[in-house]
Amino acid sequence: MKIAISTAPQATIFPDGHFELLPHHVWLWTDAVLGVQEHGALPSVACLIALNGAGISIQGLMDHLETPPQDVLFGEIAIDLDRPLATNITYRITTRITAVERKQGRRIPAFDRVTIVQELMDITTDARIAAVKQIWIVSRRGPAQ
Amino acid sequence: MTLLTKGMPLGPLTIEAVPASGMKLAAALLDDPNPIHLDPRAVETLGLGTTVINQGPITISYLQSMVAAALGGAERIMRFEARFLANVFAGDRLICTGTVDDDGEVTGIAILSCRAAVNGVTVATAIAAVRLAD
Repeated sequence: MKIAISTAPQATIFPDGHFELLPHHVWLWTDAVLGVQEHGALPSVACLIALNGAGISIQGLMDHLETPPQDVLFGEIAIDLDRPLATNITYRITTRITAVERKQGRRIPAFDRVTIVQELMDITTDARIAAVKQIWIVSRRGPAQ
Repeated sequence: MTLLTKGMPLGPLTIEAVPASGMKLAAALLDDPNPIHLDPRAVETLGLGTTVINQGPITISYLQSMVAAALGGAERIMRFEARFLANVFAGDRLICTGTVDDDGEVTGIAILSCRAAVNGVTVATAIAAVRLAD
């Protein structure tokens, strides 16, 4: 088996982005995840804000990591909420790749464990509302031989 | 809000058949281009299965919904940390359960452990920290 060697930078800070969370975003997300509208915004809405409002798209992140989308799986997600997520607020999102660790596993012979940290700030007060840490598992299998 | 007591079980919350429609909507909302959530052929090509694979944020949302049901709402969840152990596929019958590990009597923050399973196999685990008072 051929192992692809990534030349992606180990740690990267991306430009800030913005996202205005509107009530219909929360409604649709709650519908997609079979949630209860009356429960309010689930913490996972932070993922929606973080991924949509980052200064780089998911595709852009994957391009940066030199991987096709189908070779990426979520390994872990940690969400910290300093206060409940509110609608009709524009969030400023910071995005950093803080670590890329090459690993070997049973199911995936060679993979990168990529840590992405994002913070969500209220753009008017600059107060932090939430932080999202994602661990992506990026397969580094080369073409089968 | 329901009084949380140490050892109290949470759930079960059962998703009788994880819907592919939710994955498509989530892909649009997340701007997620990964075809494994959209196209069964992409999953087959990778040798991962024959149906589309649930997005991680959806799977943790099921667990968060179980916690929100116990609390009467999601606004008291202040931390949620999840690990994914196996793929969840469209059509899977997924069962969420949990336990109150710490009732927060001392700290005011309760700690809940959560588990999502398909056919008895754990596919995701999570720890939630919830605020008990405003």
